[in-house]
Amino acid sequence: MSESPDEQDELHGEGGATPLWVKAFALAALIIVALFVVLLFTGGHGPGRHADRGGFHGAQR
Amino acid sequence: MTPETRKLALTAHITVSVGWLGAVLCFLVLSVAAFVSADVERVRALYDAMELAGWAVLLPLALASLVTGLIQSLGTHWGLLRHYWVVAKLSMNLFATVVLLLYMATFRDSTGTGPSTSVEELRDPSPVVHAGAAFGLLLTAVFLSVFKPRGVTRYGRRRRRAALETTS
Repeated sequence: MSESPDEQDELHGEGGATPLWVKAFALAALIIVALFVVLLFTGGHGPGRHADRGGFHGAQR
Repeated sequence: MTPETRKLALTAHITVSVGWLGAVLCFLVLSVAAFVSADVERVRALYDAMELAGWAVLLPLALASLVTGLIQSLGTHWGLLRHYWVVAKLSMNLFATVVLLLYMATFRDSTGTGPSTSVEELRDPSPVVHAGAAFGLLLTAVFLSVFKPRGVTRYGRRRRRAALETTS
């Protein structure tokens, strides 16, 4: 954090439009969340997919 | 914040954040070792070590990174919601901390380490995938911190305009 925000803005120039890297970042985040939701609802994610293994806590009871 | 306090806060933030990255790397190595091992006892011991590391090292470092990051942004002129790179880092930190908390809470259930489980059942790609994803996420956060890609949010622009109007 050697440059202050103002110094950095002077270096790079600040337009009103959303930068391309932010759009790419948001798209990647959206894809990851969508993938997570799909896996959650298809049973491919979470501890529930191991229910047939008899988890540690189940084995203790 | 005074310059000395700011440097102290920044040092604390860097220390815990990079420490978190290193701890995730260790967790990744342990998870890979557990996934490729053919020895039940070794896999069990590795899961024990991973569970301990998760609760005693990963989670405290994640929370410390979040708190020091908030102090760092709110206590300096970077702000919390003024620059896209800060917002991106905050979102990633929150996401990683929540996922880590949920993952550790169900770690024993998801790795299925019941006494009767065989080594085939014990070997689980889930810790490898989660630790690998966390490592990628935290490495991205390091790059964002160092490169600080340009971009002021709508809120940041509003604040700047208001500040300019006040000074003029």
